[in-house]
Amino acid sequence: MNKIKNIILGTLALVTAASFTSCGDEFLKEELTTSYNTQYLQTEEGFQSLATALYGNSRWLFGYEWAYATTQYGCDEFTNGSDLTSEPWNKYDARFGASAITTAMGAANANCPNVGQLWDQMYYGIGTANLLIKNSSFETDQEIKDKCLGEAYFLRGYNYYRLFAQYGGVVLQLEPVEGVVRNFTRSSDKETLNQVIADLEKAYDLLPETEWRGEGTWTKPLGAHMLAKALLFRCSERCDSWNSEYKTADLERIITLCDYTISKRPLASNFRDLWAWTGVDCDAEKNPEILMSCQHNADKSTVGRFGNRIYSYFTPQFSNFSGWVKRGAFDGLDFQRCRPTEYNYSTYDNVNDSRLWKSFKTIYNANQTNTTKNPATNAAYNTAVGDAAILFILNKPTDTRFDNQAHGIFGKNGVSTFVNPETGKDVPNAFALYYGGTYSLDTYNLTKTTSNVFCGLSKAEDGSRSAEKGDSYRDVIMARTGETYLIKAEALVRQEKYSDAIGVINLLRARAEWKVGENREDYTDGTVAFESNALFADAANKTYYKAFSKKSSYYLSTGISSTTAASSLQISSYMSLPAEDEAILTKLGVTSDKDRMINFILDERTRELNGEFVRWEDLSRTKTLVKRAQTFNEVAASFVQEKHLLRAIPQAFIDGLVNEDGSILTAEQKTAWQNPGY
Amino acid sequence: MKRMLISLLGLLLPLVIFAQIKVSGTVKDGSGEVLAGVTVIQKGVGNAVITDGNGGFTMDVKNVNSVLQFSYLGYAPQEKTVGTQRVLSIVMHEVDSQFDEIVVVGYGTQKKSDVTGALINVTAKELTSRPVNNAFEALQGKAAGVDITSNERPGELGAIYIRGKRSLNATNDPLYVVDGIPLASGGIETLNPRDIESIDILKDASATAIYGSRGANGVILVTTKSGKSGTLSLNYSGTATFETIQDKAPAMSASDYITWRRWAYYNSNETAYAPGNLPTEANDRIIFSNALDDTKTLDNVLSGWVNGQWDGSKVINTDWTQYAKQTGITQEHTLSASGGTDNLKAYASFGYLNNEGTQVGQNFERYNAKLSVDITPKDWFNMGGSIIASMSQQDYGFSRTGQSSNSGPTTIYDAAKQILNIAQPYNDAGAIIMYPGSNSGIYTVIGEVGKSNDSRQVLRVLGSFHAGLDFGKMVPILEGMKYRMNFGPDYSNRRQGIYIDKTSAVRLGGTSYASLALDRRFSWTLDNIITYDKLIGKNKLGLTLLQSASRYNRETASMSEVNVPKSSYLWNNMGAVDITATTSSASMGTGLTESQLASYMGRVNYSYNDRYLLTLSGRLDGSSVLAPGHKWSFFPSAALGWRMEQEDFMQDQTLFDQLKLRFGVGTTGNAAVTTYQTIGQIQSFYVPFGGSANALAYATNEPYYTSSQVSLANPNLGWESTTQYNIGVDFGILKNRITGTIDVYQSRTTDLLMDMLIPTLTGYRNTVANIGETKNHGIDLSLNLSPVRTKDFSWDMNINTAFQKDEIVSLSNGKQDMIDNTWFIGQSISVYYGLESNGLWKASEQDEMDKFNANGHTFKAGMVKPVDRDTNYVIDSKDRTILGNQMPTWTLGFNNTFTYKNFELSFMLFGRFGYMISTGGEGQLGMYQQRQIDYWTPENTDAEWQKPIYSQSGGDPYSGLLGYRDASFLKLRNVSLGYNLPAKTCKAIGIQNMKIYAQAKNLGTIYSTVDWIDLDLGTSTFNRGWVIGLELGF
Repeated sequence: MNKIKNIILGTLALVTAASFTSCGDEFLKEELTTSYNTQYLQTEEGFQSLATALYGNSRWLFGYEWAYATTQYGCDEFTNGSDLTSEPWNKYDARFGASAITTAMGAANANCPNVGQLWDQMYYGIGTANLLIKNSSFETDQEIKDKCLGEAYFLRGYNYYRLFAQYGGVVLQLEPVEGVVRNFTRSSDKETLNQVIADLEKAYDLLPETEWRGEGTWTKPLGAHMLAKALLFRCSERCDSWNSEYKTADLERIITLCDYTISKRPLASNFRDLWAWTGVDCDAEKNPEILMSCQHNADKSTVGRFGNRIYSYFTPQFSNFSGWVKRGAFDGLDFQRCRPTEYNYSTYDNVNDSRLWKSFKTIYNANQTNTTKNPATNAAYNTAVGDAAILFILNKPTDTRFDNQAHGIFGKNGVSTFVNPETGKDVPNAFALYYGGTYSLDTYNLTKTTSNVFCGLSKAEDGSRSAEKGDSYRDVIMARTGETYLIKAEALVRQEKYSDAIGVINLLRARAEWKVGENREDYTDGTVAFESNALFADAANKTYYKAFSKKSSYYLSTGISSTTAASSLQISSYMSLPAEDEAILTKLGVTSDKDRMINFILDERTRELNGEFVRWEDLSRTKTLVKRAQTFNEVAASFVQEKHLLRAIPQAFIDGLVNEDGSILTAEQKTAWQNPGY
Repeated sequence: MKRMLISLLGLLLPLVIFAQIKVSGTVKDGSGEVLAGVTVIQKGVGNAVITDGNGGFTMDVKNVNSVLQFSYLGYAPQEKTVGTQRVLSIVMHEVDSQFDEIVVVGYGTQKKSDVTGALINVTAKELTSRPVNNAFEALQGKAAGVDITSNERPGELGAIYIRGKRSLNATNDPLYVVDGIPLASGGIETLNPRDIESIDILKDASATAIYGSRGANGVILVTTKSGKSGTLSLNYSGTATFETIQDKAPAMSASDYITWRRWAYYNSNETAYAPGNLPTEANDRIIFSNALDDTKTLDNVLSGWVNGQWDGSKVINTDWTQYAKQTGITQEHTLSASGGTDNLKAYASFGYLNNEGTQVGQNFERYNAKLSVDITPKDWFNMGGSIIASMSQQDYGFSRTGQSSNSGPTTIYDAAKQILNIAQPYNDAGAIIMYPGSNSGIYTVIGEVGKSNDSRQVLRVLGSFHAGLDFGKMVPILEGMKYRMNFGPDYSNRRQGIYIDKTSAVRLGGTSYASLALDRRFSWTLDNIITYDKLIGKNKLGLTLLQSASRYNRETASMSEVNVPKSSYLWNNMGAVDITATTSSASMGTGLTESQLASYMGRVNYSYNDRYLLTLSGRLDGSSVLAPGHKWSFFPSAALGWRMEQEDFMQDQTLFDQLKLRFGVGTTGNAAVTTYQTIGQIQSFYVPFGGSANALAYATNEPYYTSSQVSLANPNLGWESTTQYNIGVDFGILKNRITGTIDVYQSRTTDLLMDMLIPTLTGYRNTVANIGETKNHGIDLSLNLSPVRTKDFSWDMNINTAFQKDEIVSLSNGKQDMIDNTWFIGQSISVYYGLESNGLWKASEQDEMDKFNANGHTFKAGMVKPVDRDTNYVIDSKDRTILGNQMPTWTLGFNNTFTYKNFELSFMLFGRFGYMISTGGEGQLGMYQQRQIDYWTPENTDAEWQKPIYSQSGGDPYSGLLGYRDASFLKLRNVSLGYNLPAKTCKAIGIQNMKIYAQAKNLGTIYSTVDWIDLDLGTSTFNRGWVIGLELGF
């Protein structure tokens, strides 16, 4: 009896044990059910969604501090405000090199962009494009395949262009990398730029003319514009050691390509149409002049990690220097990274060039009041909510109207003695560019090199944000026909057809003139979108929104009488350029016709493309960076050198490389990888 | 009725059981005190009685040859043959030798004297010697080589390292095993410390190798309480703790702050501003002007100017921390009951903890229940199980959630402390000023508690069920062979609800925000174990065979939205908004993670003549997270022990009572990579196009959208393995008045699981690979001393200390440093790397400064002077050096207990020594709040810190360099005074035992190299308090 029981029990135990012993490889199989894997990209659906991803890659450029650090800092147009987050990029000092700039190395904070960030992001996009090109055989619809391939070649060409512009010759990887590869070779300048041109040629061939995905689709006119821009690079000073074989044909071709783009995507009739932003996906974003823009909307699903934060980078720190203007979604965020230099303001004819008044925000009204006393009268200010509280007077050195008015440091602290002659009201913060012929806008701070007082660019303002520090829902323009004119004009200059070049520029300047009947004092920017923001319903916010002035300081700045006549910006001869340009050319000491015209076009680029994230690459391309930064950027002046025409190759990348046999690079090999001087 | 029944039995019994002998007796301890509750069993018969309050017992035995067994917890068991005596006098001795303890070694228990590996046993008494909020915290300072850092936020945990760090990227957390079940997720923080019987910590690889793939960072074996045969008990224990926050870095007073800010402005532009020691009213109007707080701050500063004379004492000083702190009262109660017979044992307990923080808005509440039953219905079969459940509710309190900035304070105390003391809380109309001090980044803390909620709930149920067969009881030839099955399910459900009202300062001008996150984890482990024990002459053999499988499954869900219509909705009515409207910013997500582990293990324990001990084990582990073809790995170990005191040549000496030498070697693994590393993942995101719907996109990596980039799939991913050698000595000398253990070890970890950075040209930033090697060595020492031991007075002392040093041998590029990760060949794993400071520039060094300043630096007297290592007068990345090691070289726990009659006094010291911390330095930008420091002025050139320089951001660019500090501290963790009610009194009032005690908690640091930080916590604040406690047994 007992025996039988034991046999039963023993068998049971063994069966139990055996049933669990069987859990072998099947039990250990790893299954991922919640995500697609790389095989999905080899289906038609996956192929198309991979092409869509290319657009996501391009959005990165305007996501964070690197947007302005890599393109606006260290040039002539902008310098740093009193926020020093990215100062090394503006200053080119000892901190600026191949390694990450950390707080331990003297960075003001942890947000200072790293030289490797742009590098990495461009290669991620190139990786996606390479995969798309390789997987194109999985797409059977020829039309879709061509459109997607056009986009792949476009982004690869565009990203290699950015890499070339910033770093010079780079590694050309044209196929997906399989597995861990750490052995690469660096291509020459010539090979790299020729690859850019080859890719953009394919993109130009394949991209359709229509915006088939919706606004923001890359099209053939954009392909032509980018190809022309790449060809112009090949004809520029940075490529002079090897470009002679291409120059003649390239210049001809640039003009043909530009003409095509101009014909298909004409200029907006009014410069303001591009910037009068009224809300998400508004008409301003649909203007045909916009060839390429990084798209944003208010959907949480599309925000991404970095959103669009450029709206905060061009604004003076108004909430800090005035007791009168409170900041919020209703009037802007004052992170004061990009402070225009004297050069920037001085390029404009402040009377006749409407672009100055359509690009800069000159007035903030009071949206709260306080009991501060006017030092002149020792009485309270009579400034009410809605009256001008911060006023920038964009005058010229010859203006003597304000010479005897003492504002000094008090202007910044909301206790100026300035009385607005137009209203008779006190303006607690009033700043003119010039007092007694001396540029004074940089004198309100501790040092001239770290000032938070400046008249800021308003091209990125966004009143649709959901909170003070909310993300911006506004698109960022990456290419537009205005620049196509400038590319064409520069090609003509390089053909030494200076009068023709002036002819092209005059067409662009015609758009910038005041038209008959135009109210020159009218002002608007993206802040106006606050009127349709849900936060506007709140009574307090409605009051705060009164900070937004729909009027500029035009007449106060110019001192001219009110007029609705048309203005003229037309140039009659390349021998006699506008006074603003002649003054700049004198400061730069350039004399030859060609140099004068190249520099004139750079000035015109400032007026037209101010703060549109192209400057550094243009100055590097034309090798005018060192001279212009030395002359116009006080912070960079004593540090910028010839080596800064190129960024350093990221040290982290070099450190990760191995030789073909798997051995680590020697110190000499590493030096050979690096750009000279770093 | 009852009496009738007994009478009836009395009549019947003599008829049934004849030739009975009645014996009685008294049981006392070595000092002559009577022992109540001693179990007396007649051997072979099984009838048992328990001694009464006078230590007396009476029982009937079969005959003169009957043997009585006496057992009592903490005392050596005894056997006595009845013989001719009818009144027995028994003296039981306390077990004062640690060598006779039974310890848990993983898949079984062993007598401590037979153990060959390095392990530490921590008893319930030690664990509950001071009030703690969880079992994790209770271990601190109790075990050599186990370093536990503290976290005083209610419901939060510190970190644990057993014998330092080995792994660079994989986890350094040990494996927790509760009642034989290895935990797949989480630790022991949800257990009630009072439910724990003992904790055994396996440190060296020869011991941990039986846990193979998961043993690399040490194994913590927790045995929870269960019923004991022969005793029935009911116990209550409870404590109440009163704590307040202490600040080692108080803020400057309003007057000091004003002077300091004046200096900051002066230092930024000496021509524009007045120096700090020569203030002017006009200057103050400029530097304290502000916009955001109705000029209340400026007005306050100007109140110090009377008739053109400055009087700082007239300025109102507001200590903002008053709005953030409270007296935290923590109460903890546990009621437990246990009992059993030889065939049925049970234990039940219920615990409640309410831990109120010392900062407003922080609270942690936990309910614990444990129930365990063990049944042996047949001599060949037993089964049982336990369920440990806990439910906790944590009010996390103020955090960075909802703030737009990714830097800034994470506690309300810190948030309050950053508000300037010169600022005012309310405006003239009596309304709260949102930006006191007028900095748009610094919000008020008044009223914040009600406006932001972060509520976290965790329900955890930990099961452990077992069934066993004793084959020897079925077939005699299989004597010693047993089978046991363990099944351990572990279920946890976490819920985090966040609601931040739009009127909260952190969302000023924004919208109300709500989010809900759910995280459900379920894992189970199933073990089949066969053991075989055999004694053949002097040969003792033990064999263990294991087959095990475990599975882990985790489901997550999250949702969030803004514009919540009504504040009382919190996160409980998220459908109330139009989730399709962009203004709602609604989002949701779910996720699933699964992994599996399969194992086989075999172990042989062999001893000869109780002198020579040998343990061999091998474990085969397969893990799902590794690549096919690399999933399985084998982890062997071997250990030898020599009990020298058993040798003949040791019999004549009197010094050593115990002396055992141990040597062990073993290999353990670590597969703690995240799941799905071997699968080529892609990521999805949405791309907007104007005028069209958002388009779905897929790519391998698009960092604009996703911060957690996918890694390049590694089809060769395998185990990280650690091989460790350990030599140890266990000794007892002078009649075990001094006992101790010394272990010396060296380990080498190869095939490190490393997050290897790869060129982004590949389309990926990184891949997880087996690359590199680290090594680690150290010494662990535990000493127990009894300097005084008399009848009324005794003094017991425990010292545990450890030294450890880790080192990187090679990395992903071989013998090449990885500077971006601050990993250096030949250095410790966690080091600080950067510029070194050489103090402050002196005015007399102007020539030297000029040379630097010619190269773009802006050095002035009173600023930080970095070391220019390559002496090229440029401070750049080439001047960086390794500054110090972040991990302590030495740790020390020092416990003392004095007992006089019924009084007990004990204290505990705890310390870490020889490491470096980075405090970040003092930015001194002249605009933010500043703690009291000794800063440089022209009159105070010998200062500790640089001069303040007013700046939005920047200031002295090298200010952080002064923040690196050598760290060492010794902290008086607690002092406890207890009183045990005498046994007679207890009896008189009808209870078994009673202890009352009072403790002082965190009295302070005895020694610390950094005076403004509590180095144990890493913060400048700590909680100090008083505890009263009661333990009661029925």
